Amino acid sequence: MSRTFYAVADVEHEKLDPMAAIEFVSDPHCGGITSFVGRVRAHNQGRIVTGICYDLFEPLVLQVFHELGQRAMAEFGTDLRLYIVHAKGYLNVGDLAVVVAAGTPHRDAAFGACRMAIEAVKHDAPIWKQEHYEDGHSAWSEGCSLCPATHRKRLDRGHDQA
Amino acid sequence: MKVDVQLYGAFRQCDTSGHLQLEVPEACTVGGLRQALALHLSQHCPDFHSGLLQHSAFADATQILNDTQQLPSHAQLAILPPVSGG
Repeated sequence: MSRTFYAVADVEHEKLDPMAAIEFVSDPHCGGITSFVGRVRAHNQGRIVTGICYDLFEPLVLQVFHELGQRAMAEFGTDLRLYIVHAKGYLNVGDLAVVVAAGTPHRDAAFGACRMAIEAVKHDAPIWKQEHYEDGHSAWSEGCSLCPATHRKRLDRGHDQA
Repeated sequence: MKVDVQLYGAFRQCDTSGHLQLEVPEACTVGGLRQALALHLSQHCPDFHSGLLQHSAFADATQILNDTQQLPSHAQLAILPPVSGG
């Protein structure tokens, strides 16, 4: 059975399930489990948000998740179990946008792997969010450039903790 | 040759079909494709924030492409503005 699970969930057909994430990374060899759940919040930069539409370049998203998993296993050990699912489509405030879970023999590695995973989801994966506001306007969020030179510099100095 | 570029994020407003077809020279680099896209946007989408293109990356289904690389043949190419997942 695979130690990793990576997917994009089209929210028209399925919802993200944190319990499924915990279940996947549960293993008799893993004494530590951590998870991160990202939800759509009701405000951003002083504007009232009514929903977010997520756009993804799916094949490369899955490739980025796979490479992230390889790096995480190199750093935190091959006992790591890792689960990442990101939503695609329109979400209302409070809906789940991303679920990450990591299982490892001890807690330090579980926290580290989970943090590494969510930072990569936010900064390395080709995913975009279009915020919709109460006044009827919408805007694509500004984010991190994937241009090779810019991206390499950021990886070399470690991700910002935004 | 004709190159099909999938549009993501803010670039989607440039064509509601979600992709563009650009004419580029044979043996074109990714940088050449970037110039072709800049020209296309200036002609067909003049209100688009042109500075976004210089902070955007081209990619195929498996990797980000460097501007000096030759365009891969028959690849699914995409233009990726700065990302904001999670």
